[in-house]
Amino acid sequence: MRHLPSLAPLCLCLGCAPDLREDRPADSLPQDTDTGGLITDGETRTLTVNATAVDVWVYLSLSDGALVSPADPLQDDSWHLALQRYNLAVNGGVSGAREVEVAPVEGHDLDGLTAAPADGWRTDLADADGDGVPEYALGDWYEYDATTHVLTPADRIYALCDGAGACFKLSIEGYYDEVGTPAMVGLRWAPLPPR
Amino acid sequence: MPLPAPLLLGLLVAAGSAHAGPGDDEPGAELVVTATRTATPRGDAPVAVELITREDIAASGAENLADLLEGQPGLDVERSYLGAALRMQGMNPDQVLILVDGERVLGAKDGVIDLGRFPVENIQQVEIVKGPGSALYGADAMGGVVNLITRTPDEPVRAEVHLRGGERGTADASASVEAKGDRLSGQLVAGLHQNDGYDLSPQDEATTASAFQQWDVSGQGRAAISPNFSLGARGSVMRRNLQGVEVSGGGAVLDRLSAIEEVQLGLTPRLLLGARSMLTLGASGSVYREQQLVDQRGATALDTYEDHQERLGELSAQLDRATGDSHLLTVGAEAMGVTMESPRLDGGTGARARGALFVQDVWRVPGVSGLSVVPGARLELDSWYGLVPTPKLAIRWQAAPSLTLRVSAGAGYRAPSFKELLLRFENPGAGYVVQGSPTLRPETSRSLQLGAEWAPNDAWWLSANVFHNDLNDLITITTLKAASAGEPAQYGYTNVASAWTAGLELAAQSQPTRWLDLKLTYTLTESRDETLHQPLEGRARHRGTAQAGIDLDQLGLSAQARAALVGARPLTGDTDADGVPDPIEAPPYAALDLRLQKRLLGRGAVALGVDNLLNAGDPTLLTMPPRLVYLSLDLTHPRRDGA
Repeated sequence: MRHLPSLAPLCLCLGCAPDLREDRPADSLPQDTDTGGLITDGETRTLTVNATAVDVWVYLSLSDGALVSPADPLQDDSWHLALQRYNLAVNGGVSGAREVEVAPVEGHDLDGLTAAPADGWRTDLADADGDGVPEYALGDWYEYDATTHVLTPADRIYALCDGAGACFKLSIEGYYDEVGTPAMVGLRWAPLPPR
Repeated sequence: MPLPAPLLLGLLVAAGSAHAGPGDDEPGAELVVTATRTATPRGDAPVAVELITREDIAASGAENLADLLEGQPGLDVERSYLGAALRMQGMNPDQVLILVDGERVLGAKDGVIDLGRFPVENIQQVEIVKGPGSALYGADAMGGVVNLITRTPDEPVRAEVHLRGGERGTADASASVEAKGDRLSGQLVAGLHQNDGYDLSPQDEATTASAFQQWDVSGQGRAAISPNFSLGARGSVMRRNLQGVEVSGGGAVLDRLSAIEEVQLGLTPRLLLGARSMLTLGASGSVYREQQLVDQRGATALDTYEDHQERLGELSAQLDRATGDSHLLTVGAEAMGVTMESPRLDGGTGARARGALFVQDVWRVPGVSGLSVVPGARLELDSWYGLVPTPKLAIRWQAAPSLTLRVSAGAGYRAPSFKELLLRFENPGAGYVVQGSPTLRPETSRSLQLGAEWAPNDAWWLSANVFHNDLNDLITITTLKAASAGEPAQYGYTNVASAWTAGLELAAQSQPTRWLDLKLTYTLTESRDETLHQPLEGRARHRGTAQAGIDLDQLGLSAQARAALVGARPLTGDTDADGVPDPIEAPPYAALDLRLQKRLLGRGAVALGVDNLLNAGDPTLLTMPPRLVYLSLDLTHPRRDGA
């Protein structure tokens, strides 16, 4: 140990600069990367979901307006939507047992849609293109800018119904929160009459 | 006049193959090493060598290599978030080899070695050889070689101090001491540099160039252990911290901090083997470490910390042997090992080993006055892609005492970087993936250079050079899988592109009176990406420089103006927000530097300067530093005559 001071100049020179993290502890202020509080306006609900984890899915019940923690997501019918970064899965097809289907609707905003469409219904399917990722029914929810790598919600909303007949209309409002964190998925939904 | 081979060898012994001595006052007599790997008078070099001397460096007011090369004819210094990158003859920065005393340097990011990190206080001269240098230097010397020759003592004792202060927190200080004896000589140089960076788009939080603080210490010495054996050693240490701000596409404000450390050590024993041969050995090592920290404001989701480290070890042996009066043969061998540790590499590490043999003969053709033919070749074996031969032939003919003609043809190549071979990167937000390819082949080039230098009298010097470079197997990022519904894009590196660059370089230098120096240059650069059927990005077709220096010796006053006129540059950008790059054209610009200096009776000088007086630059297409006014003071001891 007594030789350490004499080694210090060598250490200074050979890759022993202070670790940059020492002077920059994680932000001590409250972070906004938590799932936000549910906002209810009549029957319409708004929620920002933290889907930033790379390998963790977050499960949402549209009827309860809350995140849930299913023990076995493939068999559990407590959730409608699952989110992991830009991936949105529904509890149907290869993703779950609730027989959730979605249908894209263009030309309507959320308030303007009053009935489920007659056709266009689909659910999550097994990987068809060999990339190891299922063909998600909500896979076309965003537009991708290859120059800026920014994801922007596509100009469409979705009708969503489960196997029991409960239906919702769903709008994906955004992918970034106010401080620019990606995968903070803004959702807005309301009940829809059964199809 | 060409020198006979034994005399050349004598020069080589005097100067060393790793270091050229101080330049002679006579044009063309300065010693250069980069053209042939042996010390040669510049005028006798078989390929043209552009030389920036210590005096040129002092007169330019530059503090680092980026500032110094920015005004040099035929060179294109492009600034970006990667730092200041060098293009030459239309070739990419990673196709230009940068050396310090003949040794490679580490720390390229996306192929860019930031010229801003090389302070000029320890540089004796900069040698620039355009065209492929792979026959002597191996990988990465496709477009040319820039060799920084560090300072060597040339006086028994000398101490110098340099101070500079300017706008935007610019502060530079350096000092050097040197001593030269019969058997021992050495020099120590230290510098401190800092700058607040700059922001060309103050409407957002992002900065254009990072603030930095840097210190560096370098030293070298040589001991003549016996009349036939000397041992040289050199070392340098550098630390550089950078702070910048970036705004992501999604609007996140990110503080970016970097801490760079670099250490270089080298030994060069030199052994005279009789009167006509010399053996130079070299052993060197360097370490480069860069910590990068990203701190998202108001959140931690985008916070990252990465620690990148590179290590390089090189061994070399070079034998120079003069045969008769007509041959100077150089043969050599090199071995090199490089490792990189980076969280961005698949598996976290990369390693490569490389060995090479090279040979070159400077043959002064008997019976043809002034004609030298210089064949050379290098055979390099790399652990990633195997054998690469790179031949070269250069011919120099002094057709008349005032006229020198040069022709050279050669092959060059660039090794795929660790990033291109091993990258594994997934964007956490957008999900796109970029991956390297271990099966990449090297990029290759074939080049032809024709040049002429004409000095009709003592007042004028003219030169013209025509070049053509054919580039094949260029490595580019291609879309392996386009983004589709729910599936992000995948990008990868492939050998797909081919291209060519061609052009004309003209230079005229004149000293019409004793107190006035003029230099004009023009470079025409044509280029074509044969894959995309469009000009290569960022290359200005027309580029001109003008330099005027006035030296009123009796008053101790000197003034210098350096101007660059750069034509429109083809670029790409997404102008219609459809996510697809569109061709755009960056407008022409002019840059002007002025400097006024008063000498202090041989004790140094004070100077007032303005860089980029016209304030050229914009946030997206030309991110050069805005106008900078500075004041500098140089002191030297003992008193230097004429300084």
